[in-house]
Amino acid sequence: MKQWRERRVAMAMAVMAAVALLCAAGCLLTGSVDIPAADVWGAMTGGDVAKGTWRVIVTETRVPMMLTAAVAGASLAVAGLLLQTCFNNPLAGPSILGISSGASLGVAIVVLAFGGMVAEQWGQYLNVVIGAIAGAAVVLGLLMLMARVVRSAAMLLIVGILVGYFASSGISLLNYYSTQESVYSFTIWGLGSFAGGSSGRVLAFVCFGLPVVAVAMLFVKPLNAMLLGERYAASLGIDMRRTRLLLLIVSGLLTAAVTAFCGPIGFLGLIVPHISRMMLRTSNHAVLLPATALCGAATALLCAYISVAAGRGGVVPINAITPVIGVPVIIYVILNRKKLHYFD
Amino acid sequence: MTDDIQDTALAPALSARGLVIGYRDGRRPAVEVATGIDVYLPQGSVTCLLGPNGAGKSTLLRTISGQQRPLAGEILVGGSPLEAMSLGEVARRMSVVYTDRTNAGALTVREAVGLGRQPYTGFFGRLSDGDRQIVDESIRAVGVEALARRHMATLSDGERQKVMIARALAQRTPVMILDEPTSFLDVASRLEIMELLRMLARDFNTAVLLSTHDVASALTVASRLWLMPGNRRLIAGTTDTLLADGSLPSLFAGRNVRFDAVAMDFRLGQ
Repeated sequence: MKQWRERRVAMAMAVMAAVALLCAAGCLLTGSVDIPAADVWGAMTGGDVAKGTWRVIVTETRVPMMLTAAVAGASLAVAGLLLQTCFNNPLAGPSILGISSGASLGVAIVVLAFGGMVAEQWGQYLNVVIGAIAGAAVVLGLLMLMARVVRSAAMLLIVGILVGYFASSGISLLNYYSTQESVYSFTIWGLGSFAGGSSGRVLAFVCFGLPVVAVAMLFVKPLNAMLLGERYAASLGIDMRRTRLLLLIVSGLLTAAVTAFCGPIGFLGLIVPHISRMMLRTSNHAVLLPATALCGAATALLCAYISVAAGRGGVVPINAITPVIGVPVIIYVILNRKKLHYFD
Repeated sequence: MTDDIQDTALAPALSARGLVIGYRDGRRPAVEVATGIDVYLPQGSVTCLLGPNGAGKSTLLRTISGQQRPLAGEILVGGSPLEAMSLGEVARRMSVVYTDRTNAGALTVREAVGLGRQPYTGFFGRLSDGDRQIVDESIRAVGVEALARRHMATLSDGERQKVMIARALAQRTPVMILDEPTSFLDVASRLEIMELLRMLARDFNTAVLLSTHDVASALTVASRLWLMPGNRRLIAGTTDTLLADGSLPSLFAGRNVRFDAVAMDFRLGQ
């Protein structure tokens, strides 16, 4: 029986890895230009490529997009899992709690107030990142302040949603008073995309995102204790105030980084922890946390592949795809609330 | 009434002196729930905390388990002041069982009991062979071996409560505190759990303190009682003493109930 459980975890992670690899390959092989697999491989390994432009397309467009999707997916999924356990709420997630909206407002202020999305310049890009982190931090700070007064996790979730609306209203106001070009570039950014980055910026994103995901793995022990609820966790020696603060900072950083880079991506942070729990049949974070990172990468790569495969030469916005995958999952989870073991 | 600590040769697992419990609220004066509490918990036996709703039982348990600070007085656990202990030290001396809703449904019973070892495990909470042995022992002691591989979500309320007791037992603490562990349970589970607690207290030399509304079963397992009649006082003593001197029979003074000495329980009417 024990082996059976371990096998189930190994099987589930193998499936996630297989989906991730297949979709990653799909992303590399699909696009406006048909490039034979051998040449894609050549471009990636520094070998022979039939056309010089193909090498540029692979190394400057397709590989960056694939890496962005994988790291963004893992980041959002891990952020979602931390928030769900932290708030003891299966419907918590970076977008629902208003953290994405806060980051968006930060980006909106930078982009709309200081000129268009001149993302090709490093300085402007850095401003966008700082704006996103500042926006996420303000929302998290508000949530934490409210958490002192509002003891109920459900009420805190509602506060998060309201804060999100507040941020959206700020964005609308900024949009109203901005130039057309700024609004256009901000709107495009808001649709979400894994394809926006040059190889240099993608490298920066990966170098920031992966270590923060790794830091999240350090919280396995308190996260498991928190499954029993706040009072039990405290009775097991967990400093709840400090742990919650650290968890919110980690999930805020992950959300802000992804939002700055890809736009506010909906649903991934909410659904991936559920998919992982359903596949693994456990909420033991020792296996659930790494599996959620892997599953997040796989799901985002799937979305990325659909976005290029359905784009007929272009790229469909990611936020047009995530709800198609996300909404059925959430409805399934809600309808089977009683049967799914991890509620309760 | 003060508790006669001298009558026990063993050092108490927990004691409180001049304890005042209640709530502080910044500007307003503190609300005192009960004052002048002098009590102790002897090792190896069950103490039951009885009293009407709103008398402050939960406040007392929260204060004693270190989740809420007393307004005055001192709590000693194993002879050391509770106030000076880190959360980790408290977790190695006191385990608690609540009836809180948990989100641990997708943990197996063994994993949930294993969480009781957290005060002793390293940074990632990995269980050593010794930890696993203690977990298995705790599962056996509570009699839930057959459930060990089941998901928490598949258990009945009574089974789940036993698992939470096994988890507290795996913490291997000298003191175990339970807040109404038998509420919401059917009569069979209630009796089983009370008897289980009596055996655990004896076999593991644990000082067990539990609050309950189930007077009849409390009287069968508790060697000592703490009574909170709702007049901001706490009366402590052995079960026999408190029965004899009328303290227990007058626990619900002013209400339309009387104590039936044959049934050892309260009955409606005067």
